[in-house]
Amino acid sequence: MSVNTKKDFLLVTALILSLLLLTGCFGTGTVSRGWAGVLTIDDTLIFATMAGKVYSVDSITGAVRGEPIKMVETSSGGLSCIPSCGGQQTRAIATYASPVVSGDLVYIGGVDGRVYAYQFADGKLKDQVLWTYPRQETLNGSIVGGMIVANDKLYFASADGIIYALTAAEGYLEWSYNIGKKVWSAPAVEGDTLYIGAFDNKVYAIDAATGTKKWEFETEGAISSTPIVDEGMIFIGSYDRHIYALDTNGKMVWKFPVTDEGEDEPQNWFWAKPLIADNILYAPCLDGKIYALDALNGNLVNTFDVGGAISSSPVLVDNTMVVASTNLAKRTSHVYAIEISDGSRRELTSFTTGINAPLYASNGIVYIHTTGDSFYGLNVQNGALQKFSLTTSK
Amino acid sequence: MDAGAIWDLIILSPMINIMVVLTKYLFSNLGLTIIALTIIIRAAMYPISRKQLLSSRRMQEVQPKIAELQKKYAKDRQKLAKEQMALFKEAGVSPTGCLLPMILQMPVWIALYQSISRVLATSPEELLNLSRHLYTSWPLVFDQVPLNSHFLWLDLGTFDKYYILPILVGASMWVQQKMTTPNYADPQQQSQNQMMLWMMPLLFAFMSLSFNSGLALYWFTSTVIGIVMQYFVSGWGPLATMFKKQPVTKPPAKPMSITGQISQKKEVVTTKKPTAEKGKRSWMFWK
Repeated sequence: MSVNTKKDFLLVTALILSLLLLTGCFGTGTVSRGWAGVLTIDDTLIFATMAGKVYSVDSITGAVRGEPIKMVETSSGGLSCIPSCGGQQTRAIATYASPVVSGDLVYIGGVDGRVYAYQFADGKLKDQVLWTYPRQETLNGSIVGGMIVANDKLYFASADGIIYALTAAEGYLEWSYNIGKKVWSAPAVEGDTLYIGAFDNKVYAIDAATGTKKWEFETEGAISSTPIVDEGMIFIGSYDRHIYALDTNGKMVWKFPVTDEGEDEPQNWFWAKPLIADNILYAPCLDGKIYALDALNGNLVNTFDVGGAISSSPVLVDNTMVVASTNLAKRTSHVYAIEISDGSRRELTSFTTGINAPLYASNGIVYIHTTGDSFYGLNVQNGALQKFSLTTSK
Repeated sequence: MDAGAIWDLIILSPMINIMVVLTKYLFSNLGLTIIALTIIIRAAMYPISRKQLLSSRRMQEVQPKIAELQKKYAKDRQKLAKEQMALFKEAGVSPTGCLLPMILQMPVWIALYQSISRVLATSPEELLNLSRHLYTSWPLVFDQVPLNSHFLWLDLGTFDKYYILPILVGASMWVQQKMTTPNYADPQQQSQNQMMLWMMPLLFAFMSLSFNSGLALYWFTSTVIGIVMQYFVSGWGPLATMFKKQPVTKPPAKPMSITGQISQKKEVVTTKKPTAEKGKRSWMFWK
């Protein structure tokens, strides 16, 4: 490129400097905003926002209790050497894993590769972090899948391909198991076995006490969906567009669809966690349908088409399944109530933003975290919608 | 349907799916796919690129004449414009000759750039968004994603922690810039061109540090192909004279007629390769 006039030169220089500032100050362009679901402890709601704040909220009045906890990390942008670009910048820690509680401890898994344990007392989280795992550094991968507490242990997996078991009280490492491939799935624990899916297309069964592998089962696609365990069967969806039912020895009992040429063949990945009720498995798919399958043999019982991708795990409130569908291109969403007794469907509400966070139900209210980082409580019976303002009283 | 949806439907989604399928047949290696797709697209667009390069070369060739005109008609801009147009016409140069092919190629490069970013899908949001681009009638694309992002020493989803690729990007861009940047007698113009010679490579090297390695690999591959194409169209250009006495484009000492036959001899760049003495090893890498 050669420039021939002063005007050309100034124009090109301005363009280059603009690009330089944009790329330098805004880093890689890869955005992890998070989509953590909600947790309820008695009458307190715990919200982890995309802005890296964790709120304790009164579930009745919607009032914020105390100051929110601020989760931030220090990072280096491309122009970290230039002070005007922030140098060592601090940014909010996104959370995909919904908070979980055990006793008086609430655990939050950060995209920075760290578990944070906070004490819950007097209806709110205490601001001071009790412990973190790891204590000083971070793991080599983000915590994207959820966490689970069982057998006095906190189980979770990281995108570094390792499953961790910590003592739930103090956060000391009990064992770890290296899968070697990225894990975005949350574990499920039943008895003495932990089940989890990974990006290496496999479902793993791990001894929950020792961390030794019991068996593995390979599908034809990556797995980010969380497995569910019911009456000695493990159900899990894969990116190969199939739902698998395995027994506790890792043998496949059935898969849906049986062939890849039927009319009812799913058209996209199984991303969200399925749910089970009355021996019917409800498997949400990104093709906008929920496939209702007989849990015993995998036969298709019903299909519910909700129009948009189902990336948020549905919940069951009495006999009503609440499901959120998102138009991924337009980033709008609708929430539906489906009566599992007769399959009837009604729209409860809609948003001008998407819903990726798993829905959370408590006392007839479904809590929703939208991609616009707003929190709502939705009464399933009458459709009343409450928005939580998350403003702190001084 | 809005413009974004049309763009996705016609350009972005096809390229993403082709990229995923190519990866399957290239040993599930995304790095090889990026290289292969860049080569394929650059080869397909060679006729347009060649036109651009030729136009650029002709433009360089008439620069001395333009300088001459600028000096001659410094106080009469209208006459200068008229004479410049006459010169362009005579030399077969279109002032938009460089710009138009570049504009025509832009959508393809933008789509390739976006496709690489999309298929790398390093965050859950990006992977979720990728799912809507996959063709339901192509079952294998669903099994392939997420793609393996490891290539040589690189994790294509993040920047090169060893800084090798950013250096390669910067160095290759410098070479390409040097091949097309003529030396001018006018110190101000020469200084501006020198700044451009360094600015672009530094900018892209820096961007390679800020963006993921997949994009840096695409920039490097594309630049290397650009260097090869540039070589076949106009030789090494000013790069060949880098370590020699540099010929400069200087306006003639006294005004001379610009009418008549435009010399086909290159006045801006010297492309003649230095000849090494028989039996002696040449130290110049382009030999």
